[in-house]
Amino acid sequence: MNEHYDMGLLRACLDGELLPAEMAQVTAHLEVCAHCRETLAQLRGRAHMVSAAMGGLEFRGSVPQPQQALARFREEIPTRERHSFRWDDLQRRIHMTGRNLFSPRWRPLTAAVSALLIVAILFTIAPVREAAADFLSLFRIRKFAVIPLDQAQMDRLESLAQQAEGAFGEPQIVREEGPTQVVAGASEAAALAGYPVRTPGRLPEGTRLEKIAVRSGPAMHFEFDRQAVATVLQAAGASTDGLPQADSIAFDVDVANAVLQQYQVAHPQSSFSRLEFMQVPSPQVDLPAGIDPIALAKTGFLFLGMPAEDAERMANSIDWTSTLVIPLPADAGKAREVSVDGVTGLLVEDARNPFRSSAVLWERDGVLYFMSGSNMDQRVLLDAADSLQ
Amino acid sequence: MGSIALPLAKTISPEHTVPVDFDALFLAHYQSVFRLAYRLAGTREAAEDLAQETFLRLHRTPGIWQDQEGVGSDPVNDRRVAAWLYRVATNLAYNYVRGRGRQKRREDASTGAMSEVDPADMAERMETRLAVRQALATLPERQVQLLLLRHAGLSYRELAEALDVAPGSVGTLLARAEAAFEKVYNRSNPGNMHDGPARRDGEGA
Repeated sequence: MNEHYDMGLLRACLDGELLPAEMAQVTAHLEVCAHCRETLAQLRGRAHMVSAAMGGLEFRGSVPQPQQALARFREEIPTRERHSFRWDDLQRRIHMTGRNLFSPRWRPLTAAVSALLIVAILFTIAPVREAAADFLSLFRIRKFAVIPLDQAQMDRLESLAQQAEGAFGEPQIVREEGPTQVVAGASEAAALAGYPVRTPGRLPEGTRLEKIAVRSGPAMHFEFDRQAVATVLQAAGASTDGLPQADSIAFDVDVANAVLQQYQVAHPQSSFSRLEFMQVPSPQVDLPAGIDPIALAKTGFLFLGMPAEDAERMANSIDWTSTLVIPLPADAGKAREVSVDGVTGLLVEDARNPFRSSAVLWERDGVLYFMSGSNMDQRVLLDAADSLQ
Repeated sequence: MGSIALPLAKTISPEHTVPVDFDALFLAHYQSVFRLAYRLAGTREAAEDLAQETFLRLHRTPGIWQDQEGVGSDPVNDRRVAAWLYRVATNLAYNYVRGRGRQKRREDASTGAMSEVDPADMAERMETRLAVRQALATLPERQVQLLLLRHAGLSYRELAEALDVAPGSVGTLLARAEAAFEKVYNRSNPGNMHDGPARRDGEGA
């Protein structure tokens, strides 16, 4: 083999990407080496085939005008930033993890099965479109808790998600998620949603309601093959303690109508200030019997590299039947408890720049509220949240 | 490829917070990014969306383009930004086709591709394109990026920069990517079988 060129060099030769001296050497060698000539011919044939295939993918219409695209870009920045919560890393990672772990339809649910998977699945929430709705599509949420994760822990979760890819099959859709229906105002939204709709009483003067809409959530039936879940956990080096013994782990998720409001906020420091507000009755999840969320949570924390004692303590300190756990990469976001709307809520903010993006989440009387603001003073956001009527 | 930013009219209005230099980069690279995204995404709509998202990432990462003088007119900086944009665009497009994948594949085969119909296009061609995209969607991301960017006309040096690999390894990576593509593509399209079976040099990272 030593007297033959490797295919990388020959491939570069085909593209004329060798230095003149190398080129001369290769050419001279090809004169006398049938083996390399054959390899080269094979590489050439393959390159042509690939090139023909790729050539078919080219866009043949008229390319959008950059000026128009730029105008649209400026218009869309606030919306796009909101969808991604502006926390680029978080967004990218969540997106990747979620995509690897589950098809979009899996997203709301896995949470309920195991705390470990809860942790992973929640990575899918924030960033994907309709962030808020997905965010809240989980069991009976009364509280929110944040688990800060470092880079290594994020990496571990991602690798777990990769191993789990496609392992669980598809859920049965009992009721499809409905389209987003834009309505004229709060009363119409209430009629459609079937419950009273609250709106912020205090927003800076000049603020404009851009959109109010209702979206019906899906109802789904999930059946995990216990073996599949166990295999994924084991492959990841995690314990299967806490999984029920039955062969199949089944449960149901039902997400009610969500009401969404978008405001263009008049703000002295930015022309991009937006406020997004969602309310939805806490979704219902019927958990399967025999599941031990504390044991699963402990498994999850151990998996993340937490010392056994801490894992035990953390797992026991959270009420897993009512707490939405949000894993938050420590370098991307920060969270703290705040008093809002008469209850205790969670304020999550862009770690580097709270002005850019903050969100407050809380639960009151069986309804979940999620309000996020971009490019605004946090006080504006909290004031809006506190003035719901 | 490797388009150079032109000193474009700075039409931005004063109340916008987007720096003027960003606009120049947007205008200079938009079409390349769009075309690149389209190759994988396959519809104009998706490609536009991916292009927008790509520039959003750029906008959000000012370190990429703001830390040098003469942004947009300095060829070195411009090449760096282009490389970054191409990497992000292909990454997003790849994620898009993969993520959309499974559940929608059947719909794509029937209707999805139709939304892009050019009347002159024959059904067969559309099928081929779909097959190519599906084959790409099964390859590792890095290989797809390499194939897309190479085909978009990037030199080995530009490829190395965009994908953050050693320039000397591009030939090898490209040969592997092509072999991997051929293998997957032929498996799903036996009728298109190219002469000779793929060799075992086709695998590897």
